[in-house]
Amino acid sequence: MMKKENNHDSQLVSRFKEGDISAFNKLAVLYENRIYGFLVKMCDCSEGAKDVLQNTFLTVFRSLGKFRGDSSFKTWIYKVAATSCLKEKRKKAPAYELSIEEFLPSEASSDDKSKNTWLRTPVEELLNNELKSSMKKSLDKLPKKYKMVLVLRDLEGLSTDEVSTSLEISVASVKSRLHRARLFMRRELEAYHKERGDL
Amino acid sequence: MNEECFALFKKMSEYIDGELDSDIVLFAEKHLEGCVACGDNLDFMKKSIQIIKKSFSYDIPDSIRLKLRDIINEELEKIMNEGGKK
Repeated sequence: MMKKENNHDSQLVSRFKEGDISAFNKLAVLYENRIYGFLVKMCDCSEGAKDVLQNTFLTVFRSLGKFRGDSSFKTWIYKVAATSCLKEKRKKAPAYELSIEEFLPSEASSDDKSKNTWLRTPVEELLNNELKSSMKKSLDKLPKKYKMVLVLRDLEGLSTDEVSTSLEISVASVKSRLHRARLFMRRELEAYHKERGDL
Repeated sequence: MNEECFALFKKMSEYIDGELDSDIVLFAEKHLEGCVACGDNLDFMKKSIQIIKKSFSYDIPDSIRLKLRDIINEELEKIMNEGGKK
């Protein structure tokens, strides 16, 4: 699926470079929803996302002639979007380091047998608007460098290598930040359920 | 939590994503056979990831999509008027 997607994108990029500038419209249609979704998750508001979305596509359009194809078009457009997003100063994002140790399960948590009920409940039954709203608030609390990796990897579906290329960080950094981000969200989820008396 | 548990804890995401070398996977699976706490921890992590993945979905509003198209078309017209491709 990924290879087919990359081939299709490559063909459109080639056509653009050969003079078919309308090929860019087709690329825009393919990616506008995905990039918009990515930016809303990162910016936490549609207004901020709209501005960065426009900047992203303008940058891609103006640079596409020089795109060498060292990475896939998908990786590249996410890189442009991520870079634009990191420059966005609309909202002051939290910035602190997460350590693995702060997420170690407590003895009380390990002994909590009622967690098994929640764990046995299918995801579709747990997901409601309240939980989704809580997850969005939790995501917004996550420091940007972790949030970016979590969003690209788990929500946008990029591979570890693609995230590494998009963000220009090592694969080891991607894995480390992703794990910490997931642990953070897991702790938020646990707090949400405890507050509701589900655990 | 002992040393083995902590070692697995640090690598849990990579284990779930299938990104560990086979010898480390063997170590993890052998440990999981005998450690209920780590098994529960792993299940909790898997569940959390599923919820994270399904909690967010956005569709681009038509107004934003149309505005984006306008901006792209303006750029295309600039190029056409300049009489060449970028």
